Amino acid sequence: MLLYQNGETFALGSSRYPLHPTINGEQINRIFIPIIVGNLEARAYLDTGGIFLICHPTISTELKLNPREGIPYTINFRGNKIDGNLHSIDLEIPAEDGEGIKFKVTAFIPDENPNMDWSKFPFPILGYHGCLEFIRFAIDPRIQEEQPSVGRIYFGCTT
Amino acid sequence: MTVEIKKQRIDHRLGKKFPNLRNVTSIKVEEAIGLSSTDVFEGITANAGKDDLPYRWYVPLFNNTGKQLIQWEIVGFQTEHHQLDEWDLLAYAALERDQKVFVEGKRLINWERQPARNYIKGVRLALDSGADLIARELAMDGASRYPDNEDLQKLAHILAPPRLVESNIPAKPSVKSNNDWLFANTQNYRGKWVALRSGELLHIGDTVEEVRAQIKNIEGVLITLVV
Repeated sequence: MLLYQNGETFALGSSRYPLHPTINGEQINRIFIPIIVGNLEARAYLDTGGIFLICHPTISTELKLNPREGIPYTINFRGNKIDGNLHSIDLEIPAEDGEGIKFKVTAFIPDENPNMDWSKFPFPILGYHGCLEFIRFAIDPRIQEEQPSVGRIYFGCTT
Repeated sequence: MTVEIKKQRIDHRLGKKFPNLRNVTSIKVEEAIGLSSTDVFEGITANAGKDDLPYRWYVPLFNNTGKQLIQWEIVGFQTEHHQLDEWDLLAYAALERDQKVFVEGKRLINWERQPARNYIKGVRLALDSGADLIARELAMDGASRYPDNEDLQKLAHILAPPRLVESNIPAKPSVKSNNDWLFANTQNYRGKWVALRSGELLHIGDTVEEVRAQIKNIEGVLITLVV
């Protein structure tokens, strides 16, 4: 995998990632990486200016967390005020090659809200603080000339 | 100079009614807590003429010593001032979702002398203010000071920095095969939700709910929008 100059390991796992917007028509491309929450596989995009793991309701419904065991919290996402709770959950970043890692992170779980238009919010978001801050990662933005929107992320845990 | 505001009825722009006050307070407000005078005064002006609406706004101000806080309470078009403590400032920060004000209010509190309930209150107000990392700091500090307090332990557990649960997890072939499918089929399924298991397409739909409804065992299934 990736090593420091002195031979110490930087990253033990890696995975290819697609680069694309979060919704059709959006202009900014994001880095989407595979994650596993509970028994659920998903693709989440990196937001190094964000905080916590922001879950889509598809994930939260399956996790069956008790809202009373969380901390009430509200986020504003694309003009929508979304109520929910913060919980501590296990987040695995699985490897395509090498070794995956699992962390306990702070996650925002939205309340069930039948009036919310979730089509604007189709993917989980991996924030930096409370989620990625102790994970080493490095990006190789273009691994194949014929697929310019595919890169590779290398990751590992800090010692 | 200490700001003195007696109960007044405001019928016009505040700056016209109290020209000196505007000059003095705007400087203090900006220096003390980072609010702009424009925010403060335009807010009042914008509500003029709507005296049929229930309206309450709190504007915290500092005097010249920087120690004594004054809260300017505006109800309808009535104004008055009274003493404000640091906790009111935190509550104001939460109400306005203003991290800068929260940071200033937190700095004024001697946390070493606070009971557990105030740490809990501080964490909740920090989260409401958007000061999430301060919420974490207060939760961790409070949990350390009060190890028997269940509420603080819960807050600290949830807000704690990420910690490693497991490493050396073997590579998952399904991640590679799902990636292969997505890279090869994006053009054909753009805008659709798909369910994949180990690179095999299980279901297609226009919404996540539609796709989810067709899956009995969700374990090992990737449901994703193709963009």
